[in-house]
Amino acid sequence: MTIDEIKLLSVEPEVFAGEEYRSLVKKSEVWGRELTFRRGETYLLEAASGTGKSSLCAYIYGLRTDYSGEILLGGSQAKSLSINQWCDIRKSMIAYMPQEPELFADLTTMENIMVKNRLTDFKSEREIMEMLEFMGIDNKKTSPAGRLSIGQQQRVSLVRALCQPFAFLLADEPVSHLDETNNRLTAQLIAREIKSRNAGAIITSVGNRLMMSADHIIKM
Amino acid sequence: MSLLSRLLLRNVSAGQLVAYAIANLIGLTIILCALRLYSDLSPYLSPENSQSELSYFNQDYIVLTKRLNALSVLGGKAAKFSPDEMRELKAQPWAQKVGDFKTAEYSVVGLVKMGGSELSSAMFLEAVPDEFIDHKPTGWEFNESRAFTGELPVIIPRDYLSLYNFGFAPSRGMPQLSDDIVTSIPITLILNGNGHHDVISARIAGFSDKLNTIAVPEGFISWSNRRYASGASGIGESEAESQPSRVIIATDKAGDPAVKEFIEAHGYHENGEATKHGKAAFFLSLLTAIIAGVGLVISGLAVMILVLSVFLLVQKNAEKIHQLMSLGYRPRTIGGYYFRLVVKVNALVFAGAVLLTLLASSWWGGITSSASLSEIAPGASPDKSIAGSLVPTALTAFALIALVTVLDYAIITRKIRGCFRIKK
Repeated sequence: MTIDEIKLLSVEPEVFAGEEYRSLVKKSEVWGRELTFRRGETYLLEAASGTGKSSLCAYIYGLRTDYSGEILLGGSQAKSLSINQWCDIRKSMIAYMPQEPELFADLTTMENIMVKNRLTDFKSEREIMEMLEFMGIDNKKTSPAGRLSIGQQQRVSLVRALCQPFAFLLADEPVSHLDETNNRLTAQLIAREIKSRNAGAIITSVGNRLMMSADHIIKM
Repeated sequence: MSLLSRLLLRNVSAGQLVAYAIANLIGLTIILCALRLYSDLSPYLSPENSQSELSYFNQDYIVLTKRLNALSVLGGKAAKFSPDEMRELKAQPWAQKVGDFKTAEYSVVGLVKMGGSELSSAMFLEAVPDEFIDHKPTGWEFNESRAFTGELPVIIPRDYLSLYNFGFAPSRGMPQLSDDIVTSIPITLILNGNGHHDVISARIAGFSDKLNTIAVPEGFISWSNRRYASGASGIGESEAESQPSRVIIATDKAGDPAVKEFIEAHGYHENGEATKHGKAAFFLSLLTAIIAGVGLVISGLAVMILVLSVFLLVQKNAEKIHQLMSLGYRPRTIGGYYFRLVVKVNALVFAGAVLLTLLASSWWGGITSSASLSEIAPGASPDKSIAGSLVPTALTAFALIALVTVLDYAIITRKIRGCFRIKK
């Protein structure tokens, strides 16, 4: 199974079924529409908070199924995939950087990254160190993740997400806690990594937008 | 320790694991002890070994007669089983084989020469179908051509020998006889009837606690009835011949209450001695089943303790497990860390249960030998070797612990898969 495109067909969160959400759904370029994300192209989803961008990421990544309509991953119905199929997709087809960094607080920075990299065996330790250096957190290599600042955790989470092959990168507010310098570095790293894989990228933002040129800018 | 085991096994409660191990150990040991006790004691109760010298019968069986009452005696009506009654007996689920006793219908006189004196007595001969005698004494296959030259093998009730040894011989100042001596004494039988008068030699081939008759090969009775009976004695009609007065039934449920009910309901009489062992064996297996049942319940409870432990552990680690699956780890991989832990604990339980059972077995082995069970049944020789006791116990224990382990695996996998989606 390969995923060359992700298709949304009239997808709408179940909670948006009420009358009070009608105007929101009507204005949205995502909910209730037909929308295709193609491999090799970048998509910036801009949203006000409460418009369901994290929900969209969770739907595409198989974390939640509380929506109507259909999501097709390379032709397969997302709702019909088994747990093992989802695990395989997450291991080699879709990389996900959640809004909250979701690191294991007891493990060090490097260990957190290695939990992913041992599963995928994708990057060498040297490549990982390079990425950490690039993001300016190589000196935190042996610090427990729980002691890092949110901004540092966000960068570790990005490096971890990049330690796998993927056709799409799904980044939920990747720079929400970063300053302009780190925003730029993040943009450069993401651009470099998706280019090397000829991957697509779906990146959300509320206000603090990733400083990266995108093929499509979509309003949620 | 790998990264994942550090993550996943951090909250393992040693107390819960120990509780599971102990409960499982107790349950498994009780099951094993019950089975072991059964296999150790059943040789003393099985029909093969209840007969001291010769084991003719592999199977348990019962002998039925009709009760004699004043009416049937006065009416001169012999207490025989009609063809309908035979059919009903054969239809019983507990009756595996049904056969009738064939009686010699002519006059027989037995003659024994001992130390110059001669004992003679009028007697009778009977036969049960050969198929009921699993281990036939030598010469049991009767051959007409050797009827007058060969020795006729005879099985007599052990009680006869006891009567002689402990009743008759002391009162007459005659020697007591061992089994070996008795079987070597030549016996002369004088057969009389239908114009024939013949003398044949016979010997006692063995003793039976169950067959309450003087038994000879079936073939001999058929042949001799043709030669000596044929109407001469007046009771040789074919109809009477086809209606036996005693029947022998092979059964695997001699102690089953259903058998007793049937016998009582039909007013039959059962040869008491024959089923004593069958009843003891029945109660032994009932007792074993009860004890093993208790063991199973305890093991079941142990599995429930484990389920609870796994449940709590997975609950505590639910967030981590969810995150690992969200990184792409399959439930099987994650479950493997818990499963390997359970396998280690179960391996300890397995070894402990086998060891405890062998210890317990040698303990009651001491009791049974001091209780002189072997005197009751000298033929009984339970396998006392270490290998003999280890292998079946270990195999049973392995099968049971494997079952528990598979159950554990299913529970762990199920719980982990439950962490896949975020519960909001």
